[in-house]
Amino acid sequence: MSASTDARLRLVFALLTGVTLLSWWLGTRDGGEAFSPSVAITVSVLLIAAIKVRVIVWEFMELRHAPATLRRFADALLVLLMTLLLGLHAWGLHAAG
Amino acid sequence: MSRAPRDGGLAARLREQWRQNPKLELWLAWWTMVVFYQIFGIVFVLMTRVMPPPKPWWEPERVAQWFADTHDGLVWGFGIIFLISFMAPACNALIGYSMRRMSVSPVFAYSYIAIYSVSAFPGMLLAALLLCAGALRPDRDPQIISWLYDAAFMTFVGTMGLFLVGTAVWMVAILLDKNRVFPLWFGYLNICNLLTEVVVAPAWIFKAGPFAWNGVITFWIDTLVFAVYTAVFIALLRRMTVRDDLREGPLPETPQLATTASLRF
Amino acid sequence: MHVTSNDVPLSRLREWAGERAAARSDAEAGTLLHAADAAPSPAASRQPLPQAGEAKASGSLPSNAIPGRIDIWIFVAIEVVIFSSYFVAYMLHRVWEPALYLESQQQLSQHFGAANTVILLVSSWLMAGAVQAAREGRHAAAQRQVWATMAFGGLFIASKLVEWSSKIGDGYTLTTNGFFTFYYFLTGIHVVHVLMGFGFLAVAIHQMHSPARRSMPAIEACGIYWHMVDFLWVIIFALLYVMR
Repeated sequence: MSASTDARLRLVFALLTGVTLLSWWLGTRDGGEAFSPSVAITVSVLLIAAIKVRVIVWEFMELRHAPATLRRFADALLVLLMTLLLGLHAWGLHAAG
Repeated sequence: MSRAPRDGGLAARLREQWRQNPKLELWLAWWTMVVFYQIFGIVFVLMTRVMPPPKPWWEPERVAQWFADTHDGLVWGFGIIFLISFMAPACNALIGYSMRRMSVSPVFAYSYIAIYSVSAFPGMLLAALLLCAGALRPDRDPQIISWLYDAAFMTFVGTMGLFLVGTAVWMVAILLDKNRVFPLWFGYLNICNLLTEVVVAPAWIFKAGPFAWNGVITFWIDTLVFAVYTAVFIALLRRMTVRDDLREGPLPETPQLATTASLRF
Repeated sequence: MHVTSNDVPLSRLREWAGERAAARSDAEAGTLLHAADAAPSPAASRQPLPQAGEAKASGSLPSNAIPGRIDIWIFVAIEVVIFSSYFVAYMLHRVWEPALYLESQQQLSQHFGAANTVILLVSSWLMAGAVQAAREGRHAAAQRQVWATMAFGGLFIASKLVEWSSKIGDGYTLTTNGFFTFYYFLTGIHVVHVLMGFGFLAVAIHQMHSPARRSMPAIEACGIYWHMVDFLWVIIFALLYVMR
């Protein structure tokens, strides 16, 4: 039984749950009353999601052991998706004036 | 072309292949499949203008107008499809063969062939019949013409259950196979195709937006995945035929040159 | 599943007996889900079996090794591209009708969304532990953890059903508006992935169950599929429930 791997997985899980609760708090802070558009909430929530995805892929899926090419490809894919989503959101704000 | 010329030119080489190539039937099936998908693409995209599909929200008069505009393309295009629909079973036969070459039970091959034989109907023939009926009876009430139009495109885009199950059968066979007929990633690619087949169902409900029968999710993404999947399996079936030693047990990784006089020019 | 023992004609079995040594020099003959080798890659030479001393001692993968096989990663990459196209389509429609999406989003339960995320995170954690346990040769513990993973997957689906029926009860259905269409579509296709994940988890248990199988790459591949379902939900949670 390897205590170090176990401890590492436990730490990863605690971190993931922690940031989930952070986004939950961000989303419910105003008690579910009259939602208003918020760049701060959107950007931070999407970045939190990106960090969570990165941690799940690196730790749970163990991609951190994989060759550099594969790791770089995974990062590029995640950055591309987040750029598209945030870019569309920014473009929407811009178009709305 | 680049290979050293043999005696007798093209005709003689073809004759030699026909008499001696032990994989003649496999190569015939493979080429039939390639030709079928080429003609299918030309007819459905260029001649009949069924892919990408016209608008689901059109009024009956506009639909009747569409039938008048594409009359010749529909009649001639689907005429060709009815003529060559015998080619689709060749494709199913080769895929069925791929499963017989695996270490799995023959049940997989037989269910796949049965399922895909039936699926030619909702996937292609039903739409062709309904649209031909609309094109050849222009004097009917536009309401009736419009019904044919709805029925044709709903079945063409929205009925994927058979394809889904067929794809699942092939997927399980590939993942269980010990003869390494296909690489493992192709087994997983079947899951991708299968899951995009699930998402076409909303085409029955929505008349506009991303989930209508011409929508970005129900038509475009689904068709793109299917096109990639089809191109990949055509390439892999070719590779399988090249590698095949016509025996049982694991498929050799490299072609057996003695038995692999392939029909390539 | 027991192809070797039940379904294959004797003649073919005899042929195998001769060819087996040449065909599969590693100890993986007769295992499930990885019968076909990937195209030659740096990882193909790596075969981290549970018996391997190094892997057993450290309980983790050697560096520069691909967990599972490259094949499952090709699958994950394609799935990510397909889901990304759904996410971009959602974002585009949201940009076109910001007020409608914002107002409809308010009808969703943030608590349900967050609870769903935590449920899936727990299941992923359990599955990661199961893969570790299998690598260290603790197969009974590994199987228990996969069963627990399944239980949390079931809990996720149950909570999704409760959430959907409460939305439908409130009068929000697939056709209410664009936001709710995307809501039911994205959560629905994700649940289909969870259901398929049960198949992968069952294969993992099947692999761990008998010493004759126990292929680490196959078990890792099952884990990777399950974690993919988890991280897809993380993005769906951010897009549907929380962003403004």
